[in-house]
Amino acid sequence: MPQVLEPVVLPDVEQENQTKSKDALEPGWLVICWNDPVNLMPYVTHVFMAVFGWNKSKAERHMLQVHKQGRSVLTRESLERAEFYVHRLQGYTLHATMERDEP
Amino acid sequence: MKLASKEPDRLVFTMSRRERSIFQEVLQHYPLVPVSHHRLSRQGRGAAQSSDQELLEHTMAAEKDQRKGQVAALLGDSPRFTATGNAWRIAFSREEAESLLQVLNDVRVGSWLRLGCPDPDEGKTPELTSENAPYVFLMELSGHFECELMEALEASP
Repeated sequence: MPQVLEPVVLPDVEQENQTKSKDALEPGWLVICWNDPVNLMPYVTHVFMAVFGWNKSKAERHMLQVHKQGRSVLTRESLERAEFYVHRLQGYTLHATMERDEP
Repeated sequence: MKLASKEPDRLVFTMSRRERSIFQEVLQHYPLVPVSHHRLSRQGRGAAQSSDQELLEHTMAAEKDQRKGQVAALLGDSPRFTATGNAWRIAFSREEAESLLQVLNDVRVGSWLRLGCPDPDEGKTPELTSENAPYVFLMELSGHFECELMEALEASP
C-alpha cells in the first residue's frame, strides 16, 4: 500500500507577518495630551479617569502637567494600543496625539 | 440643572422649564467639531500613516453619527421628561451621562473653533461677528451643563 504524504505548507508569509507584528507590538509610541484653552480642567481629569481607569490623584497630576507644561505623556504603548487610546481621547474632544518615542 | 437623586446606574436631574429649553437648544447643535479637526499625530502624515489618519476620521464620523442619533432620540423622547410643578425631571444612566458629556464638549470645542480659537491667557479675544456671536453663549452653556453632569457622575455611588 503506497504511503500518502501530507502536503507540506511552508510558513513563508507568516515569517513576514511576524516581523510586522513585532513592530506593531513594540511599545514605541507615546500618547500625548496637549494643552488648549477650551477644555475645562475637571473635564480633562474626568476623561483621564474614564479612559485609563486612573484614580483622581493620578488623573489630576497629568491634567496639571498638561495645563502647566503644555503637554503630558499619558502612556507609552504599541502602535495599536496608542491608536486605541488616541481614538478614545479624541472621542472626548481632547487634543491628544500619538508620537513615535524617538531615542 | 441639579442632581435630584442617584442610584448605581441612574442619575435623576431636575431642571426648570427655561433650563430644559436651553439644554435642548445646546444639544441640537451637535456635532460642531469637523472630523478633519481630529489629528492622529503632530508630526504629520510622515509619522503616522495616512491610512491611520483616515481610520481616525472614519471612526470619529461613525461615533458622531451614532451620538447624533442618540441625541435625536433623547430630544424626541418627551416621556423621559416628567413635569414636577414648575420644573422637569429627567433620568440618565451613567453610560448616557458619559455620552452626553462627549456631546456637550463637542459643542463647546466646536463653538470655540467658530470663535477663532480665543485664548485669554495669550490675550487672544474671540473674533466676533454677527454670525458667530451666539457661539459665545453656546460655549459657556455647554460648559455649564458639563460641570453639572461631571459633579453628578462623581457624586454617584
